[in-house]
Amino acid sequence: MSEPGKTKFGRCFIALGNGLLNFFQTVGEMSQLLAATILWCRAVFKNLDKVLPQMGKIGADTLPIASLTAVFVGFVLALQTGVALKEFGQEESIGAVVSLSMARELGPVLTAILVIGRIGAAITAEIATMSVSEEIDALKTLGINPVRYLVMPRFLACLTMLPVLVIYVNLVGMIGGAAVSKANFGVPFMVYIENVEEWLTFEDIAKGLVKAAVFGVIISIVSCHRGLATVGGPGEVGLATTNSVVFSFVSVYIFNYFVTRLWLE
Amino acid sequence: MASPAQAKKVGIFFIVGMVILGLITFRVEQVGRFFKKRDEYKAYFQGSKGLKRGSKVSLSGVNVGEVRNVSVEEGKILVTMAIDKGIPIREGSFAIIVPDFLFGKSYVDINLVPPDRPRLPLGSVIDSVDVPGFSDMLVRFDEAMSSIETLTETLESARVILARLENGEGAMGRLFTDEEIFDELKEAVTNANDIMGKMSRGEGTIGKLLEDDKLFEDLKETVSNANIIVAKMSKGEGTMGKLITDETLFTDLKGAVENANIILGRMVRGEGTLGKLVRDEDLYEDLQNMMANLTETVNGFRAIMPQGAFTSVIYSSF
Repeated sequence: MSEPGKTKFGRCFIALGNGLLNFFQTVGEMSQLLAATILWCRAVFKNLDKVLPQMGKIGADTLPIASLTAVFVGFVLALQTGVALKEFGQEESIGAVVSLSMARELGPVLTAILVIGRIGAAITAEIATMSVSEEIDALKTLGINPVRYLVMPRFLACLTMLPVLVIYVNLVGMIGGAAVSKANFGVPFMVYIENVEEWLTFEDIAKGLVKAAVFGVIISIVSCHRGLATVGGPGEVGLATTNSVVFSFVSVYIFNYFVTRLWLE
Repeated sequence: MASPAQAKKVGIFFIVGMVILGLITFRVEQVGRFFKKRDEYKAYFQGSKGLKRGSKVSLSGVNVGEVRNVSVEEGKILVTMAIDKGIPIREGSFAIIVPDFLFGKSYVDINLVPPDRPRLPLGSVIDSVDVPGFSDMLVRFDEAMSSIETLTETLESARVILARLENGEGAMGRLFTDEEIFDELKEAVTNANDIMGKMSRGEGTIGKLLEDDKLFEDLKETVSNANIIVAKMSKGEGTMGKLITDETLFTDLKGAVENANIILGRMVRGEGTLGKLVRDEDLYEDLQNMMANLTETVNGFRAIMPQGAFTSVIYSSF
């Protein structure tokens, strides 16, 4: 009787099992990291010098690219829905469609994707480089906890700045929608605003902001964990960055569904 | 410490973000309404149709308030509405829930009525009309489609029947196409008219039945006589009356029937002469033979009768 690892099916089975075990291990490590990070949040005021630069990077520095993305998303959203709504003589509803879509879904998800690409990847690359160059070990030797020093500032920055960024993205997206509504469908700016005011509620905005905060937690923890878990040489840094981005994307999509589902109850 | 420039950048970013959020919230939630005085009205509906606390209330499309509460009361949905003070809700107004299919945000709309109508007192119940929701409309559409299908089938059947009529198939078809049948029918109608005319003129038996009062009088008299007979019978007069009222006659009759039964029973069992006549085959044959002999004797007697008569005449003359 041949050994399981020598047949094709056996090798697949072993690979699947290893992958599953690795996944469970990763999720467990991330949960531990999240718990440790929340515990270290008590030291936030002593580490403001590390938190504020991260907030600047994630918030203000991301704003231009986020705004550019948001305005074009607003354009496209207004254009696509406007054509369909015009068929029914409902062009003035573009404001409602754009604002609700931005506030409930597109604002948080688009911003999360942007932050994953721009900040999450950078976080993983930075921490992974420190790991492979044994800087993390050096920190531990110096008695500096890497979670307090590296993870907690990024965690707090993502948690607070992502929702603020979403506020800007929502506003810019709605302005983009208003511009296209006026230019392409002749909807007056005031009619657009009145329609937004009529249909958009604070509840819609708040749900989007809570989503953004959840995404911020996911991005920071996944990015930091992949960086800290990197071992080997510089080649591993690139791999860790790719893994981090993919893992963050998938996690954001999955959590987006469950958070939305939770609110629909 | 972070550089002051970085701190300022983050601070400005954060504060501006919060200001935007505040402004948007102020606009979309119309925060000013919290400071407005409002009157409360109620309305009962069959279903809430997605209406919830905070849903808007409009007066012929103009936003005038919001839904304060949605609850179940007396088997109906009670909607409590807060309407801006000074907005007149008058008698004759009715509220409807306008379902929103696109965004899922239903609202209450109250119709405007002429200003000469009296105002509803505060807290009173506004009449309501339940407009069908999307699912109701789908059900009704389905029912309408079924009716249309039935109608189509009926029309198809009618078309087939008309085609058969056109082709002169069946009795009706022949009636439509065959001139001869038409003429016969016309003649039948003419005859019927003649008969009816005669009847109306009192001609014939049926005519007399219709026109002659004497027949009615006769009938009336017959009924009167029948009444008299029945009255006599009920008084016990006559045989029939006695049969009804007299117990003795009934007892006698019962005894006679019982005796007859005994006699018939004996006859069936073959007892007595009559019983033997009924049951005994030999006696029957003897009787038959006797009858045959008797017939033969009579016939012989008839044959010799003229000769005897002649001889008697001869002998008597001498």
